[in-house]
Amino acid sequence: MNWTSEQILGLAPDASSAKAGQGLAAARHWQTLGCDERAVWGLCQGSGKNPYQTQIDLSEPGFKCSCPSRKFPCKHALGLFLLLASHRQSFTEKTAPDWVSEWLVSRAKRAEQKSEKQQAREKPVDETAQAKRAAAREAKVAAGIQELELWLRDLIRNGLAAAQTQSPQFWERMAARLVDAQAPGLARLVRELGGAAHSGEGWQTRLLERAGKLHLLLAAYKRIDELPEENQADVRALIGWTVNQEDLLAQSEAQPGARDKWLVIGQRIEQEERLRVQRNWLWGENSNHIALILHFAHGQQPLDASLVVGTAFEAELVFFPGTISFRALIKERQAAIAHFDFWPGMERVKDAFENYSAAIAKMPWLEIFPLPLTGVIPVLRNGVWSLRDDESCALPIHPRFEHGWELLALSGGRPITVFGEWDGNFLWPLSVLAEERLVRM
Amino acid sequence: MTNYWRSILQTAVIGTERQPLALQPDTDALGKLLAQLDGDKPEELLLGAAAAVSLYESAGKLPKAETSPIGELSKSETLKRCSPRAAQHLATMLRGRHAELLAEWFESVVMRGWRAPEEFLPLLLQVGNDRRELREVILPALGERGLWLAAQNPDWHYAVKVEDENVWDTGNRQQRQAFFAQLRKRDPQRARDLLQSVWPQEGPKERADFLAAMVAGLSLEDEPFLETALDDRRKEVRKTAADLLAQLPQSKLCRRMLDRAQTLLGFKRNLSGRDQLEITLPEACDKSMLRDGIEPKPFFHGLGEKAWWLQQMLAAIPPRSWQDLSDWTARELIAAATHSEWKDVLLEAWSQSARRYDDAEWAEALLEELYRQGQAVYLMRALPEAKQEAFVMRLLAENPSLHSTQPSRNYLAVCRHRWSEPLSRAVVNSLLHHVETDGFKVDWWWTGFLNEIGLRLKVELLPETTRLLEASQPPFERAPTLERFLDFIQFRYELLKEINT
Repeated sequence: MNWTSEQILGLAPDASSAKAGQGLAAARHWQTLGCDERAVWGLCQGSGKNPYQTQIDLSEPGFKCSCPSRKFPCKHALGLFLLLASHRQSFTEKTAPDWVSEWLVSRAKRAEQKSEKQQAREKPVDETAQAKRAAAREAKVAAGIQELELWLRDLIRNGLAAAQTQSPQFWERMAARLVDAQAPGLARLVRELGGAAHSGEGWQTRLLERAGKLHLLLAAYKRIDELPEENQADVRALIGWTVNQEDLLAQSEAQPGARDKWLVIGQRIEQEERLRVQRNWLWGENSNHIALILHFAHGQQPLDASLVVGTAFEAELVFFPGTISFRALIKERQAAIAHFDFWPGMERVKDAFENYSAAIAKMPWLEIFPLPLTGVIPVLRNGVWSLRDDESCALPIHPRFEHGWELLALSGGRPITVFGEWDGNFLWPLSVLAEERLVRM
Repeated sequence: MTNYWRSILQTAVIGTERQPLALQPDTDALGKLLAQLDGDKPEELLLGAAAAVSLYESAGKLPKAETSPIGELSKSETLKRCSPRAAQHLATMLRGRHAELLAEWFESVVMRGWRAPEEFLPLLLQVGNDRRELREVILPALGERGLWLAAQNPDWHYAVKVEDENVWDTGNRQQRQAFFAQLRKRDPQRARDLLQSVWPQEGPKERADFLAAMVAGLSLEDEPFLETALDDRRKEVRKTAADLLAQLPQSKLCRRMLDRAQTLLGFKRNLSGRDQLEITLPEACDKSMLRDGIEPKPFFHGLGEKAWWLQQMLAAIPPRSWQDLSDWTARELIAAATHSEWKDVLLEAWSQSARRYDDAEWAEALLEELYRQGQAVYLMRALPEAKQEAFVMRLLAENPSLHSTQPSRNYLAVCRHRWSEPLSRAVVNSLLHHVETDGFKVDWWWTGFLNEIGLRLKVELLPETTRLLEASQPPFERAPTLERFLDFIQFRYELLKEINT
């Protein structure tokens, strides 16, 4: 597939690496530039005596460089990649030198070891010890929940107006207790209550809605054993139990995952304190399923770069358990292809609302709902952007979304296709398809 | 919002301690659900009811109908969207890297019959708003879609052609200024007529601004109006009118200046065949002189009042007039001036008028005389590009150095067009000279100047320039400034190659 400079610069761990990488993206900085089907490589003269060996495994992509930089990918790898994007002709097709082929082999080996490790995990572990640990956590969580129930009851007894005058510590203290009780999901929901209390006009409604849903979650947990298995998974995930990804992949050995041609239709990166979360939305050509692949990066770490909006690939996905489970893992994938001739989208805003209603009926705590729409026109009225279908139904765009004018520019007053995230009130557009061109917002 | 929600919310805000929730469920589905809640625990009743009702409302939410009419569609494009790689180059520059090349990108793209992709339009319209100097090159690259978009955002109205003369009567000050400036370019006479019709009612500041905009499309037809403006109450207006009239060699103002000045200059050839200029200083600065824009008090120390009046008069007279009066050539007149007691006054005044009337012959002759003092750089602007280049090449042939102490550096800096091959080669030769001598080691001497050079070198020579400079020095000895220059010209070369092939 063809990478664009924008996509490549998106991989840079920071602005200075991006800048230095751009400086190195000229053939004159490189010796013996080569490529084969899977990789590209080159030698770059740095300040040391020997030139650095820089290489990129294009299938994922993966990077390696012999320079001492601790940034990843380093400026040399970025430079080499940018050069490939702008000057394919500078690279000659040839057999990979040893330093490249050895690295590729070791990468393949590592992948193998990983899957062996997974198989090894299937061996019985110390089940009694594991059960003991699980029971201890259940007890801790139960204690945390009991405390939260009391706190929530006090909140309502004293009234929301009183709660709003509390200092930030009021919410933060309860959240911290829940983290200690190993219920990080609940801790997050409590922090969001605090956020809602200070969210400006209309805060009372937002705070009460969230408090009600939190109460509903606690009530559901109390009788979790009576719930169907999928709902149990929803509730446990919301409280903060994570599904072990290796277990999930191992389980799928027994029953195969969802095999399809998956199109990356949208990507959004959000900062949560020191953690960056990348949400990748995938659409299955045959299954019509939407999948969500999450990637995380702490601090300066680079985010995963293997999913590029507007590319498609054959892959087997394993979905997390739950009623409305978008979240999935990629078990196995082929190289990306840039060409695709399918794109999802509902023509009527009413249908989008209906789908959303059906989803929250199953999963009342749903926060983000992927919404592909086709044939909508961006409209600005009284300072508010919305997307309008041909029945004159309008879908409001999030007030913090800053690229309304770009949407309008792409449409020229004509219908376009938009994919975005719907939060029940507003849409956050992530990509636009107009005049057969996909543009990331 | 249902009635349920209103009463639940009211209770929640004040707290159940003061007032427990009184729910009176209906017999509909939601009512039946609410009736099942345990009423003994007031807080749980409230929270349970809040969850049920808010979910009920979210699930039942219907889209809003919006029936306000959708405006016109944008017209179909005559230009093609630029290639993806050209768009990437644009994005790189908009991120701030090599942004000096934006203007050349727009010009080249339009020449090729391309336009900027739609998703760039809002940002480009904003750039045009913030950076006036780029407007003229940006606008043609925006396509029909750009104009369509600009019409919908008041911030971008500068990009929309104002055809509607109503703006003249009803618009605010800026809108009227923009309208007048555009109309003056399109139809100078109509613009003047409009201005004349409202002239007495306009404020002094507006009068001065509108008058200044008349520089576009200026002609002798404007003279009668400008003559009346010379009698304006406001000094700024009078001054602007005098400046405009002094740009018209046939104007009565120029004639009056010449009438005043011609008796002050005498042309004599003495016995040894040497030309001599005899200067008489004006005796007084009368009202008519003031009316024609002569400043009575010198701006500078060291210049007497009378000499100052003479200098201003001469500066407003086309230099060619003196050739007609004396029968001497420009060079002869200048040579004679250098022997005069009033040498500085004469040369300064003639330099100003050569520039004002774009008189290449005089500018060249004056440059010849003045360039070593380094104060005559602005005379270059009166020369056609080929003459500018020839002048700089002559300097570089004498000494290839572009060191900041060399006059060639300043003269090269005013050659703001894209250079021919011979000048480009001469400059590359100078760069090689510097690799060998100082190696571009002093950053601040070079950084900005090298970029200027990179912008103007002939494109076809860029690969060769890169090769020559790289071969002249091993990479680890290369100064960072030069490294950046090499990056810059590489980017420029690729940018233009993408558009032009």
